[in-house]
Amino acid sequence: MSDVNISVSKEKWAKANLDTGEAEYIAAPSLTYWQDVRQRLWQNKPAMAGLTFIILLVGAAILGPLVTPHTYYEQDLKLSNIAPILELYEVDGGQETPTYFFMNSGNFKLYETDEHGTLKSILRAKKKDLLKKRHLYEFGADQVYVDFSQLPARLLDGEGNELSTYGTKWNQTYWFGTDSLGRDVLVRQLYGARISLTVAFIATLVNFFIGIFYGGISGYFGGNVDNVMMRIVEVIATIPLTLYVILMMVVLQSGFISIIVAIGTVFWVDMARIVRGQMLTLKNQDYVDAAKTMGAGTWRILTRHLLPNTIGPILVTLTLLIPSAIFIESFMSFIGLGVSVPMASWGTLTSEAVETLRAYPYQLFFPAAAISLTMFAFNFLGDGLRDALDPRLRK
Amino acid sequence: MSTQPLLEVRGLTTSFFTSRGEVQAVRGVNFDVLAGEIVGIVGESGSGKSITCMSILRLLKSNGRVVQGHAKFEGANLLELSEHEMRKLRGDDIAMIFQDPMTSLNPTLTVGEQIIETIITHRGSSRKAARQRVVELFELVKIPEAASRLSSYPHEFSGGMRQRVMIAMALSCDPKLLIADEPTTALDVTIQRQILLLLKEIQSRLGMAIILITHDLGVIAEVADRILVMYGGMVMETGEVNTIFAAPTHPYTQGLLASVPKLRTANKERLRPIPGSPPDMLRPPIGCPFAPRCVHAMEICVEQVPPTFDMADQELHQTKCWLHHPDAPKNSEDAA
Repeated sequence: MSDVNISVSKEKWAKANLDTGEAEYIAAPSLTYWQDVRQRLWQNKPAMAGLTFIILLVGAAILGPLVTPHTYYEQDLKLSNIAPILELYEVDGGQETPTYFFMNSGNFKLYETDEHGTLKSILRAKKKDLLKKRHLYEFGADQVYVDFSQLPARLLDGEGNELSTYGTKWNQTYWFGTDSLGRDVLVRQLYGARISLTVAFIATLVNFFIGIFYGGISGYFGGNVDNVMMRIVEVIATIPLTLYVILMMVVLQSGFISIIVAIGTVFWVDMARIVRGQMLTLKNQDYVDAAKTMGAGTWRILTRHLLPNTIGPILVTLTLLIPSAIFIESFMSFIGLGVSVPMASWGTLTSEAVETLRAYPYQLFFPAAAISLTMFAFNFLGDGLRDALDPRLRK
Repeated sequence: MSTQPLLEVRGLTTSFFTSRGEVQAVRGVNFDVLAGEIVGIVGESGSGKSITCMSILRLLKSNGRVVQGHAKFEGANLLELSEHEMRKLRGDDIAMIFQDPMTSLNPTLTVGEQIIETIITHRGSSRKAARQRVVELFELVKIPEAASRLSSYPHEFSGGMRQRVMIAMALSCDPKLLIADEPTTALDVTIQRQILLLLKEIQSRLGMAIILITHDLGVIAEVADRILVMYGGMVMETGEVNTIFAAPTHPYTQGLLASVPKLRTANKERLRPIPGSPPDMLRPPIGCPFAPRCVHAMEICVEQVPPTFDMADQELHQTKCWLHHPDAPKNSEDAA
């Protein structure tokens, strides 16, 4: 069936009056490279989740220690090993206001709180009966026994009946609980984040500059220059990092600085290799020849034509390098080569938590979660960036 | 027309030193380019056209070297200048347009930026003046909406438009000599014609000389004044375009012209390809490089490279073929 019924008014049949320029005008809407990258990164949910987590973490690490009343070194041995989640009990003892308390299941001690879970103080036992394995506490007229003759320990009233709980509350004083010296775990976590992110940031920065400079020169000049420079890289890559950090500490003493120096001086080899590989392929591109025929010098070709075109792989390498730097720092701190006490890093927090693992297994949760979530976040972001920066993966 | 040529190339010999041995890409090429003329260089792939120009610009890949000869540009031997002087010359006095406009522009810089940079380097002008100059250039090469297209990235342009950008870049410092290495090969036929006409128009307006490298005889016929036919790293025949198209004297040129398809032919004429393939330049023939494929090949052709003979019909018409030796048998000359 043909559409002969379409009516066209008479003047439309006149010869079209076109500008000559219009014939060559390209009308498709176009995005710049970076707009396109942003759009694709935005659509990648894991990458955006990772980015959000990283931004929140950085914000918390910077601002957190400034707003909390606790410090990373302040000890309160009376309030050590407090859990973040408290199971409260209520007794009134014939008094006007009831007393709230909870039992620390690790050391069988009772601590007084208010009804919302804010810590007040440790309670003193009236009598400690070690033969019967029970402690007696008195609240006015009421008596409470802590019976640890069998585990887990139980709370009994004067008649020997188990107390019923008032409710489960979040620890309002120490959100993440306290460690074995009564220090606030949350603020130590945040200081740990500072350390880890600082190490990651410096390592990345050093990597960025040395790696690009070294790899760029090696790849661009090629030939014997490349041969010698890459053999040096191979030698550096074979040094065991642990041994290297220990040697550094002999010379530099402070654990933190020696870790940064060690990571900074060794980790750039990956970056150098990647930049070199990119340079080798890019330097034969026509636009490099074109720039040469237009009289561009070596420096300008490197900085204006070659490096901007390698920025994709460089960014991806950087984001994937950050988690490994964090991990190395945590590992070094864990085995005791990292920051010195009382300063905390995620690695030292983990190793402290491992010491009390039997009595308070939950203490391991926060540093382990911090390390793994951060590494996940950076890996997701790196993956997303790689997908977004590679035009061939465009949908 | 000045008495001294703009570019004088004598005995240019370029070799690549590979792991398999010396590849003699260019073997003793002589030619002149006068100010304001378009010289076309034709030849098959691997005949040494591009290498000749890259040798002149001293932009050979690291294993390539000019073994012999000189290339005088306005009296100065390009092959003896320092790298610094050479860099000042490139882009300023001699500019070049590449074959593939899709890969000849840096994808991460705006097209305006790439040209502005060149102008600032060579002219030392302010950014604003350079920008103004780019707008003029874009108008010259007929890019619509020149001012707004400056801040576009190369991928936003079509192939033809990119080639215009490349031409604008090449013209940015008013070069005296423009080398166009197959400027239209990567473009479709309608755009090819537009670009060629544009080149010709700009050439007549600005009065620069152009070396046009191509394997497309139609392109040469359209725009060139003089033509250089290259084969096996040597110039086989040179002369005015009309002379060579009308009366080619070298068997290779005759073969090339016969292998071009013609749209309007009276009788059903078959295309006549040149049989065989170009010589292996690792072990070039001792005699005339074309001899193994030549229908007129004689004993002397295999044994000795022919000298260059001046042809009588036209000034500057030269041919490198034994057939034009005074003692050569005359009957074979009109065979083609």
